[in-house]
Amino acid sequence: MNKQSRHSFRQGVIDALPISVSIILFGAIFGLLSMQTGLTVWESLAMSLIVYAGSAQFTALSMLADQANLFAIILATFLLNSRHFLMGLSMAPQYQSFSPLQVNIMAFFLTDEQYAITLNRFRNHPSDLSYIVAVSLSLYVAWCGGTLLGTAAGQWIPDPEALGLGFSFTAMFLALAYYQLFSPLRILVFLLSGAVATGLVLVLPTGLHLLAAGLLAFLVGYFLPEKGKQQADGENVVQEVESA
Amino acid sequence: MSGTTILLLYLGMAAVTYLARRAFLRLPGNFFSPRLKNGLAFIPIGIFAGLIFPSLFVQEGSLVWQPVFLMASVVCLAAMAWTRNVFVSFGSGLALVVVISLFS
Repeated sequence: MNKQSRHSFRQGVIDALPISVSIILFGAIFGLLSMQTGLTVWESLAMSLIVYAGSAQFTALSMLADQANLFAIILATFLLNSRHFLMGLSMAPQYQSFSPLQVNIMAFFLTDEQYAITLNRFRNHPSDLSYIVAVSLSLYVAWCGGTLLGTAAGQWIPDPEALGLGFSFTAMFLALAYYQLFSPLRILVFLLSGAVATGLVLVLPTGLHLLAAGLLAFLVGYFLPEKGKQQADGENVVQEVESA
Repeated sequence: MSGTTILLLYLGMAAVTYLARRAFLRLPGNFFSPRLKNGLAFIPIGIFAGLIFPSLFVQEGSLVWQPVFLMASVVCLAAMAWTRNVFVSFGSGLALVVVISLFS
């Protein structure tokens, strides 16, 4: 590593620091909830290491707790992470100079937060692999380390269900969903797909109601594009970036 | 659930996540129409709604009315609007539910 890339690496770690701290907290909440769902410490840590996708992991836990079909969980993961298609697309210009192997590896680390930090940097700096690697590793270590901390804490909580901790998933999803609800149309879609999902869950209790809700939201977004919100690639996603 | 099943689940989740992250990382920006992008941007709204609403209104296959959860949900959203901090929102909503369950 030459002097320039050492410098960008250090800058990447520094820029990622505040978000790394919140990711440790998020990871700890995930670890805690996974204990509550009945996963072992290793299963919980393995999910963070292998899947590495915050909101999808929370969703998987809540679906596992409901005995959902495994394909339904994978489908829900795909639907939730389909937002990364957009982020990858908007980062594409910054990855043009990297080798295929580098792109293949870095794609694993393209989370919402990594996207937000690197996008911000490359607005006024040239694209730089050491910087991306530094941000990516900081966040990955924070997420997996946080998970481990949470599993340790989880073993000390006696009966989470009796304490009302079952509500914790709903609380987390509400907080994350808030960032999505910045226009009247989006709020309407939220209420509408919520009603449809609730109706479906009464007849199809397998997690497929998530597919229906996601598809309904997609169709509304497709057929009723938001006026005045057609920003350049990325702008729109940045607003949603906090959501994972 | 066996360890192998769990591992297969994780690999499946990892594969679809990776696909979404890698697919367009090397594509020109005009590949997608604005309509399609807007549709993709709306998907998380539906997913979150699908997670939240049934957890509030359905229990063991039938409709239920859970005023404490609804109140706590309002607290979560109000805390988000006020502080824009996920942890404050999560913590205050959950704290309300925990306190009420301790004293009821």
